[in-house]
Amino acid sequence: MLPIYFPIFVAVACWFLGGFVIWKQPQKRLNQYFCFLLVIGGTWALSETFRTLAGRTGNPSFFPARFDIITTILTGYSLVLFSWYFPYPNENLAGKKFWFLGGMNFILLILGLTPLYIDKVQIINGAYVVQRRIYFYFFFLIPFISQVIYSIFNIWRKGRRAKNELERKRVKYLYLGFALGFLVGITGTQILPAVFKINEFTALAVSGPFIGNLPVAFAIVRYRLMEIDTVIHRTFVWLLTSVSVFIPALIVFYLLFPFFGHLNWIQSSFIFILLYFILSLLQKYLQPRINILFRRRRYDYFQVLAEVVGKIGSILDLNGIIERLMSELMTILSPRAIIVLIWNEKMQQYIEHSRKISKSKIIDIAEKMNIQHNSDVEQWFVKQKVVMEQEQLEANPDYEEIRTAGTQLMNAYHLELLIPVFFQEELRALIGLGKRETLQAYTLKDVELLGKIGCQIGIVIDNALHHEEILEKQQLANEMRLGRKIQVGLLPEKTPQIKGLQLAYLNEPAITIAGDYFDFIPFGNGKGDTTEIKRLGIVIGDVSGKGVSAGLLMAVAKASIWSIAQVETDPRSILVKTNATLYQYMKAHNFMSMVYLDWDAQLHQLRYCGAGHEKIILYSSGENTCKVIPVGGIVLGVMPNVANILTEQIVSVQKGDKIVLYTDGVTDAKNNNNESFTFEKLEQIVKTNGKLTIQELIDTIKQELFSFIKNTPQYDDITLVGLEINE
Amino acid sequence: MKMEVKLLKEVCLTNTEHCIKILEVKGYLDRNSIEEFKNSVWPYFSSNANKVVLDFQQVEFCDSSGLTGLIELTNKAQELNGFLRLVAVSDKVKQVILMLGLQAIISLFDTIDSAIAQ
Repeated sequence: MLPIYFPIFVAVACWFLGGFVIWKQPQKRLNQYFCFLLVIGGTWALSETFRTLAGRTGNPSFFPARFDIITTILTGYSLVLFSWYFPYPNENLAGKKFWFLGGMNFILLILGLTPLYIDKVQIINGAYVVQRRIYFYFFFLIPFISQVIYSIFNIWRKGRRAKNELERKRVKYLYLGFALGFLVGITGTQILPAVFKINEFTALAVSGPFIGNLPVAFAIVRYRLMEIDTVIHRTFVWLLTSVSVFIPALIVFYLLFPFFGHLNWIQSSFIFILLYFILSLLQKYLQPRINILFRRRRYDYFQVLAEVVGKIGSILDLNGIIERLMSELMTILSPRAIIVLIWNEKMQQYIEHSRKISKSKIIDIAEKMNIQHNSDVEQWFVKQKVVMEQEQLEANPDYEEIRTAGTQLMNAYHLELLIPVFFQEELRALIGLGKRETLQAYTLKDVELLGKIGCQIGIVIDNALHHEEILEKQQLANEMRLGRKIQVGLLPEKTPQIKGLQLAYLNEPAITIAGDYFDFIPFGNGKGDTTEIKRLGIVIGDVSGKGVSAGLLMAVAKASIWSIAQVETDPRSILVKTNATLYQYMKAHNFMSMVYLDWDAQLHQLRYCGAGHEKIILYSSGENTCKVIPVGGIVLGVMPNVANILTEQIVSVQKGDKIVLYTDGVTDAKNNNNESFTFEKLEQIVKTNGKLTIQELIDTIKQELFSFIKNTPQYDDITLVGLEINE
Repeated sequence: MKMEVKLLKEVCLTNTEHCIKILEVKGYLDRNSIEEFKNSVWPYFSSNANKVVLDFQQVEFCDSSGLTGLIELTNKAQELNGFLRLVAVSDKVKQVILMLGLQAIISLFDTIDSAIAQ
């Protein structure tokens, strides 16, 4: 037989555990239930102790007798509460029900404490005998029995409506717990005392609620009402707290016991409440300090998270990432199946990318899983941004709009969890997990961890999805660079030597392909011999727009000018024919401005024909002035025939005169403040530095221009061609 | 920069066969907005209403891409025996048009009245 003080241990332990769970998370209904249950257990244990002690000392007190009724009332109420929340909350749970039942039980409790109920307490042959007023006994008993029946019925109804195996199992364990608790309680309080005619089975009686709780506790751990590490954590904390509070409390209790026994019910209640407050203060003080000792456990999850993300983050291709992710998840959680869905831009839906099935072959669905764009499921994820839990689909109000669609989807593929993978607020992938091999439910921590993994790998998956795209872009950029190189190669690399004319040029290609063109076309003695150049064509032009099309058209222009120049001699004819060729390709979608100058070394004559190009700057050495000549004409490629518009002019030049040709890349060149270089500035430089040789002049313009634009990216070609009459 | 095309009014003269639509253009005309510009203006052309005047007073910028768009629309209008005329073009844009010689294709007018009268 257990020592007589054992129930006191149990009682105090119960109170503290009850206080603890309600203190830890008061909003959790399950914790409220536990609190109730444990306080009842403790109170019952204490009442039994009082009763036994009173029987031994021969000192009857009203106080212990009332524990009977208190215990009965609280048990009834807590059973109802429990049935409301277990295994899942009742629908339509409103405040009214709580107030009604709570109020009723409170009134019963107060009545139970008054002498109305207990008639007489006697010690007969060392046994504690309570004489109750029988009518009142029924008055208390009827609400109790009704509440018990109601709770059993409520849980039975839930069991009937259980939608899955898990819920049915929970209900089963709950019944088992009820039955065991009831059996042990009845055996300890009624059967054994009746058989052996002694009252020493209280310890067994008070263990009734505990034993009854065992199957429920098992259900909690196995089917996840509370995660296992929380249970372990709380048990440790509770044990430590209880022991440190209980030992001093026990000493006080033991020393003051003779004093307790003689008190009437008011005095006893007062001391009881006082003791409760002192103990709870002590517990409140100790609890957080002991809790700190167990804080370290939390870090394990972060470590797992960091490891998983670290391992996956180093992989570049999508298949590698998914494969690694699946094997990591298999190791950590051992699900029966993993399905990974990836957002497919072309198909506009989430399509199954891979599937990994454990040995048990639970999933035998050949059909690939997919989720449509803008479907309810997608919308739900975008809105909630949390892991979808199959278990929560039925009762959780957050799942209201997805209840049917979500259940269908999860059940079709036997999934327990569906984890969203987001990147920049966009849903990129989904990871579905089946039941665990152990059949143990995923804990809240597991779900939390998976949610975090989902957040972290979003960027990894996005990178992988874009990896190929980036490769293609790089390839394209390489092609562009090559094209640019070829295009620049089409431009002259040196100036030709011709009698009476000195040439210089500047060509700075932009960072992207543009359409600037300049050229020197030499003509020999007319028999294909260009060793001694008799005439020279000097061309500058600019294709409208930028990019590959401009670059290609520039190449076309060069080819056609060179071939036309073989048959035509005067600038106007060359441009008119070039226009006809370019018009075929441009059809007014693009155009090209151009100036063609023709230097005849023998005649010492400079002719030109303009086609909508920038002005010609003519520096006259004799007068030290600048003349600006608009070239006139119309750009090439916008009209089929420009013969009527283009005209040919002769520039009269003397020795030392200089001509500067340019493209708009020079005058429109921008600096950091988005200011343009301007034509006026160019003209001023030519005027000021007209005395220099043409090469020096072009170099001076270059220097001025680049000190103006500094580091600003150059988006247009810069082309300058300079001519100096040196004879 | 945004580009906007809005129908200002429709002028129907008794002695002309068709009505002339006057559109107000706002903002920037460059390679980014030219497609939108063309798509906005083109619907105003139809076989029985093929004369459009564009009020360019509020066009802040027009580059070579903008000009190609205008040439394209002008050519299309001519195919329908209609016209596209520009009114109140800023000096800067006008200078560019003149330099490129595009006044041979794009008709420029100072006022809406003069654009309609001819």
